[in-house]
Amino acid sequence: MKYIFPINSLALFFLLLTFTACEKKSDTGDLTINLVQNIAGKPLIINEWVYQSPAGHPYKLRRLQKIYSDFELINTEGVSIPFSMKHYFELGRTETKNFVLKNIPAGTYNKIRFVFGLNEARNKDNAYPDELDMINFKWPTALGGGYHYMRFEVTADSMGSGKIKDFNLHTGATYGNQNYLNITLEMEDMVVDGNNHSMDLIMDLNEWLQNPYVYNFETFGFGIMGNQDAQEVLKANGVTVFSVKGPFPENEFNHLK
Amino acid sequence: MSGKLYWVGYLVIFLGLACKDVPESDLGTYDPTPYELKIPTNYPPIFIPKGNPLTEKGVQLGKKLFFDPVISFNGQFSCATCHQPQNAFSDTLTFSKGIQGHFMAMNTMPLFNIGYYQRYSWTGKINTIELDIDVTIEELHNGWESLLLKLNSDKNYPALFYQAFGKTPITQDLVEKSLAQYVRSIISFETRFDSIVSGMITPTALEMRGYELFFTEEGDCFHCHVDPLFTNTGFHNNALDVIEKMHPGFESVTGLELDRGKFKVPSLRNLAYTAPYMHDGRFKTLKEVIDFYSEGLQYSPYADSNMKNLHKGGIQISEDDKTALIAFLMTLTDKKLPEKYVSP
Repeated sequence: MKYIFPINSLALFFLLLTFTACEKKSDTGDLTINLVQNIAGKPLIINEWVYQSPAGHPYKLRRLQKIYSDFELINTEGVSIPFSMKHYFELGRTETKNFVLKNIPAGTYNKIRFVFGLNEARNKDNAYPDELDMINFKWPTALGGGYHYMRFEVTADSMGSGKIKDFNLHTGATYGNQNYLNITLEMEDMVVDGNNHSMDLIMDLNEWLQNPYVYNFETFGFGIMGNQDAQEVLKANGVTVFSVKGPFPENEFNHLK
Repeated sequence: MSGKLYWVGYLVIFLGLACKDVPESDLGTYDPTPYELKIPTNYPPIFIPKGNPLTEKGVQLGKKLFFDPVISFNGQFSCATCHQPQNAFSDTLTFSKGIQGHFMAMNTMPLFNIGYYQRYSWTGKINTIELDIDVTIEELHNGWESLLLKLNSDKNYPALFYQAFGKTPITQDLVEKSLAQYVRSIISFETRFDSIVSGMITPTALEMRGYELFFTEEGDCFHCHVDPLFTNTGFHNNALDVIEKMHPGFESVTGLELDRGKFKVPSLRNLAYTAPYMHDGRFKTLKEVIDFYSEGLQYSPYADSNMKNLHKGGIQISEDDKTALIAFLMTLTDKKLPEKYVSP
């Protein structure tokens, strides 16, 4: 009788061990999205005269800030998994260059969808009052309110003539016009079964300036926040700006790549 | 043996006297009634640290301390010596004046709506109001010990601190908290601009033209001076200087070259009271400021992208438009600010 207590404890220990060992591993996964930018395939360098616009202006990049929101992953059966979120990116700020879509259910995904900018439900004056990045990104009430979608700022040489001017391509809801973009991209099959992935979401900045319309800096001038015609051109061109690379399964050796 | 016991007895009595606090019964009642900040609905939420919520008694005490020269070692300087209510809690000097009569390197910053910032001073070197107070008092009183001694032996302060915080004796932490509460309570919003926005009054044609310039890329003031605070609370290089003359600014805090020459964006509310302008008070009048943004920008690769026409010296607006811009900026004056926060 005196051995009952230790024997019971031992049995309980093994029972617990059995349960723990058999606990089902979560089959959800995470997807890290790396925001990658280039200009006609060239890497981004600030303040260097290394780019040429499709209209023929040599230019240098001064600033790039942008917002992505409301990602969706679509599986091979056409079912969409939405992620209610927004992400602010600023060139030069490492902490903004990627983000994670978490707890993706098991399945095979072959499309990704997102909003470039903010849709009308999100894009309200002071919707994000306690986020400093967003305070900095406000779009004046007088011009329609809400927030910028993007600040793409360059200094251009007028057709190589030596006449240097600055051009700020700021997109947003000019006078209430919804200029955000709904983008859907095909991607390689991503099989989620408890594993994580990463992918590159690529933006070619020169594509804002062509396809289908050649955007001439001189035509629209320094600022376009109050110019819906310019916003329409960028909105139309924006369709071909984005592409993806991956997704790639993440493993412990990924950092060595 | 009995001799030793006497000494122990003396020591106990001595320590008891040295550490003697005023009995709590004589200090009144601790009263944590929350202080209700009056903030317009279009203002963003203010940052109030969880460890220092605003209370009626805390704000009241902070106000008393703010105007009390006890805060300086020579009894001649209070916080209000430099942060004067009639000047939107700044002063009229080019550079702040220290207690020893020397001048600092920067202009005195105004102290309204500062609960919206997450970094303080022109270069952002301080990240809480409490710390800002700590540094200032350190200078004003040559350290904290003698100030705390003075406050703890004062006939009024121990009770006021007890009623505000329920604690005794007065500590550095409590002094910082009370002053921070008062400073956070200074909210400015009652301006002609606010009345125009709420539809109560109509702007003049001149003000309206200034408004258009301000809030479109024609003048492009709004990217940094975001409404309703008229600051984005960030740090920018506004092309004041060429590289050779450039102060490191925010770079001195972050160590990043891209932050070179950046200074805190001040609110444009109450400009009528805050001359001279810029971190070094180089511009005496608003006209000088507008002239600078119109024709006086200095090129450097560190200048902010929103410095329009940097290569041509600025936004290049007409004299009429300069007048209109100033007329609009004058609508940002809160005439009730000085009277609301006069010395107790």
